[in-house]
Amino acid sequence: MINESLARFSNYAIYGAMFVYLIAFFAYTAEWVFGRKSSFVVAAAEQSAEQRAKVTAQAEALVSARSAGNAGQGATSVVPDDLRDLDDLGAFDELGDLDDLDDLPTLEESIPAIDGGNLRAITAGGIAVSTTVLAFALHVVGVVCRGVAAHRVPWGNLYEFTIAGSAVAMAIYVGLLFRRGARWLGVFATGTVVAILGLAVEVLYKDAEQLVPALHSPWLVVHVAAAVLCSGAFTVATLATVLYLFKSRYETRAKLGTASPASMWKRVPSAMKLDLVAYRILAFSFPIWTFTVIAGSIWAERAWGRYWGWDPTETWAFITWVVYAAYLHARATRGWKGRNASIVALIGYGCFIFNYFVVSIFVNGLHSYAGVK
Amino acid sequence: MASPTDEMDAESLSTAPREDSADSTDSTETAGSAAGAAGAGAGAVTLPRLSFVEWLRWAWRQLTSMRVALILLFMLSLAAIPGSLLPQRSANTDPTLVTDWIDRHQSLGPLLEHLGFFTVYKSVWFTSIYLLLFVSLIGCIVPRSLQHYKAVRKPPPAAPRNLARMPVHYGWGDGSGTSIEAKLTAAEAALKKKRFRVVRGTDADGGGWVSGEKGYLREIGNLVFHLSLVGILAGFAIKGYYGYQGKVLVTEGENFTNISLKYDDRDFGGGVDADKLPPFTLKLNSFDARYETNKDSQDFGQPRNFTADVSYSAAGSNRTNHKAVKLNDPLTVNGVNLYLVSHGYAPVITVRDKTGTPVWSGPVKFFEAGAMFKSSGMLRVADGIKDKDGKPTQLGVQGWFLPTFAGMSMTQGPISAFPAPVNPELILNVYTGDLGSSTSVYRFDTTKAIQQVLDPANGRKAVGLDLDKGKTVQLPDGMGSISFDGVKQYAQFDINHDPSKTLVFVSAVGIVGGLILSLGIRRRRVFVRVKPAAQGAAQDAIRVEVAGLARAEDGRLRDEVRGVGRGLRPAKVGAQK
Ligand code: HEM
Repeated sequence: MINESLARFSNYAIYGAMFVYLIAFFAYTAEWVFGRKSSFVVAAAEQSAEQRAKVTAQAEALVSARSAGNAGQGATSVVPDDLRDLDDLGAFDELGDLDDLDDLPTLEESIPAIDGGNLRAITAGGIAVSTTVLAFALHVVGVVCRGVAAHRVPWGNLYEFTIAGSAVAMAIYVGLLFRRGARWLGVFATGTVVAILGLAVEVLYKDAEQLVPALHSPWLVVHVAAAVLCSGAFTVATLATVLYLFKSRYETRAKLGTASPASMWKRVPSAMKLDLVAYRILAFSFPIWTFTVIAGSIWAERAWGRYWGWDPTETWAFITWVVYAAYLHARATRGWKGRNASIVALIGYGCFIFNYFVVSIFVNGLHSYAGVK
Repeated sequence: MASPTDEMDAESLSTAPREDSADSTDSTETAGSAAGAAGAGAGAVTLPRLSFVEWLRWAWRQLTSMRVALILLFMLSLAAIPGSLLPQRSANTDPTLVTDWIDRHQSLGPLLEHLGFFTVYKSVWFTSIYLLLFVSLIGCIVPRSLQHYKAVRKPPPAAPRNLARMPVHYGWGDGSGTSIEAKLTAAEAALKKKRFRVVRGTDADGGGWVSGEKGYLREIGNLVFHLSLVGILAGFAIKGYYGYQGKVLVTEGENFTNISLKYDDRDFGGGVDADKLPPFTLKLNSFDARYETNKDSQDFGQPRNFTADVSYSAAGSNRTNHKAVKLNDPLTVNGVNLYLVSHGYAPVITVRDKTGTPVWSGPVKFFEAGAMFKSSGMLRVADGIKDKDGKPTQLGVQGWFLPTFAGMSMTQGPISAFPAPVNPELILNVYTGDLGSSTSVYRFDTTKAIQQVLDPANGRKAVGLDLDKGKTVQLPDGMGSISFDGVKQYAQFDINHDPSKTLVFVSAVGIVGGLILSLGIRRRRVFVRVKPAAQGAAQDAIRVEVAGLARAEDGRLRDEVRGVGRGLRPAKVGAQK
């Protein structure tokens, strides 16, 4: 039944992917390090400070011109400290055609590149991106072969769940990389995926096998597929959230003037943008997670006769759901936006991980899914 | 990024109850005074005396605020945690898990038992949180729905006077000679084409505006979502009250009749009449289990497939139906579902007295208790056996069943090599005397009983009976004999009747659909103002301003405003990209 050689091939592909991700990780690190050494970064920092001063002056001029023009009307005292805010303020010229949203620099362009123009950093960055793509391809091959070898979906136990979920996470990263130029995430994404795959092959590994009878159901395909998607999405959102917390601390320091001009956080998008990336991913995955829980309860109804039985795995899926719902609410509640909401999102991820790696392995429930003894 | 005025405007796009945003002002006053009353306030705070009705109103407002709902939601998930970590008493789990846990934690166990920690999901505290949340949700959602209904019927509000305050806006002078009216008409058409609901107005200075709003479905989705939550909660309540579940263990060849006495374990809601369960009978003809037989496989001996072949008939009908019940493929009779969830072995044991007359005979259900279906079980024979003095005594048989006996291990005792009955062996211990008063099918009390020596030749108390040979053991002192006559299997069915399923399913669909609308659709407004050009700009006849405002995060708002603006603006020389 099981195609042993294909299953072995899948394992090689996963090991290969791990190895190549590791190379990518070092290459991304090198890009950061060389980029930091480059004098360009310092120059860029100075330049951007200069530019900012210029822009601020411009904006102030605009504001005062406007308030002079129609006195008493909305003379906002907000002074932009970033190009973005100029845009928000509207760059509104009473007199004519100077402004056009199309011509304003976009957010991405206003962060200095990670490679800082350093030749070695540029090379490292090129290597990083190409190895990431190669590793991702191997990763996908590993997941697909695993499924083909066992003649079923490749998420029948915790090992498979983990390699499939991390492939989703990397797919999101690669998507962000090519569509949004999210290089800044590379070192964190590859580092995390190496750790996850290491855990999968070292701790969770299980030979490709047929499924235990409880898992013979089309709902397995749907329910676990959705859970796999969510695991990847939650992971990337969590990376963005963690970066957000660091970056917003950096921004506070930068406002106080205590941040180093060559700090690595300079080369990461603004806290607002990071927060938005995390939110978008979570807002996208929350309905999927809801669906996961619902599909799971339909499956439970088919298999055990009750759609909800407070089985430990169900309970923790519910807790995860509640915490992420609270995150969405928190973002819509004044005073909770930002840091507090992010912490709620991190707790949500903690619950998710706890469910998959603690409850399914150590707590006795009906979900005999892990296959890890 | 938004000035206070912007935020007020963004707030007005929401149908959230006002008090949510006003919480800080409104409730600190009253909540603060309540706290002040509790504190040792040295007369600093003068309390407004709240009448009972005011108190009620205050409490209701608190309860139905989103913040309290969230707190309740958090509390519900916190309260669910102990249930996931401690063993729970329920119809589907082995009750000994709980008693064992309590035995192992002498001081904590009884306390937790008293506080309901072994029946968390039925405990008073869990139920209270759940009911409060239910009330909170209803109190929150009904007013919101009304509010939203009104909002949807109202035209969008007029464009603000100063568009520069909107989060996204831009403007330009237009010297192409288009009239203000024509520009506004174009703007109106452009917004309508983008599915905005549009209103238009004129200003005293000869200018005019167009205001459009779209994304009403977002709020509708949000309401559907929250209402569906109420549906789910109601479903849980219905399930708890009118539903019932239980478990039966049916041995091959045995019948089961759906009366509550026949249940091995049951959990009936308060609204269920245990004497009027839907009647039917069922017989297990045979049970078949398949296991992985490949010795090299990591999964050697793992179950592969189970089938319970049953015949059943609804009471009053003499038609008998057949069905092969499998995991994930339940049997439904008279609105009651039977799910095959587990199975086990029932060795057929006969106990004879000294005259050789059987005093007990039949299959005894054993329970899986180790690798490869090593099972343990017991049999208690209350009457018919006399001890060596001729006095009646209880007889307790306790033993292991090994489907494929593979010898004894120093550490694990008897071991089984495969879960199917290839070489069945029964290992027996026999006790006489006082076996305690419990009628549990899992254990009897051996502390006061005497264990008999069954193998005097080797001085051993336990003896193994092989189904192929040596199937009978004589009890000492001529008390009688025990024989191992065969092996049957039994199937465990979980029985379930749950009238809430349809409601819960519909609500679940509402939840997912509502969420997709609520999180996927953006509610936004776009405003266009056209004014006569300012004095200095002689070459421009009119001035056009476009601005946008969105509720919550909206990455596309800028694109939307830009799109509207582009359509209204004459091509810009040298800027075509
Ligand atoms: C089981 C409990 C609840 C869950 C899971 C839940 C979930 C959600 C979700 C996912 C959103 C969308 C957030 C967004 O727009 O970004 C939302 C919005 C909202 N919820 Fe809840 N909710 C719950 C209970 C409540 C209760 C009890 C209330 C009222 C007191 C409430 C009031 C609101 C309001 C006013 C919004 C709109 C926020 C906005 O438009 O951004 N929710 N809720």
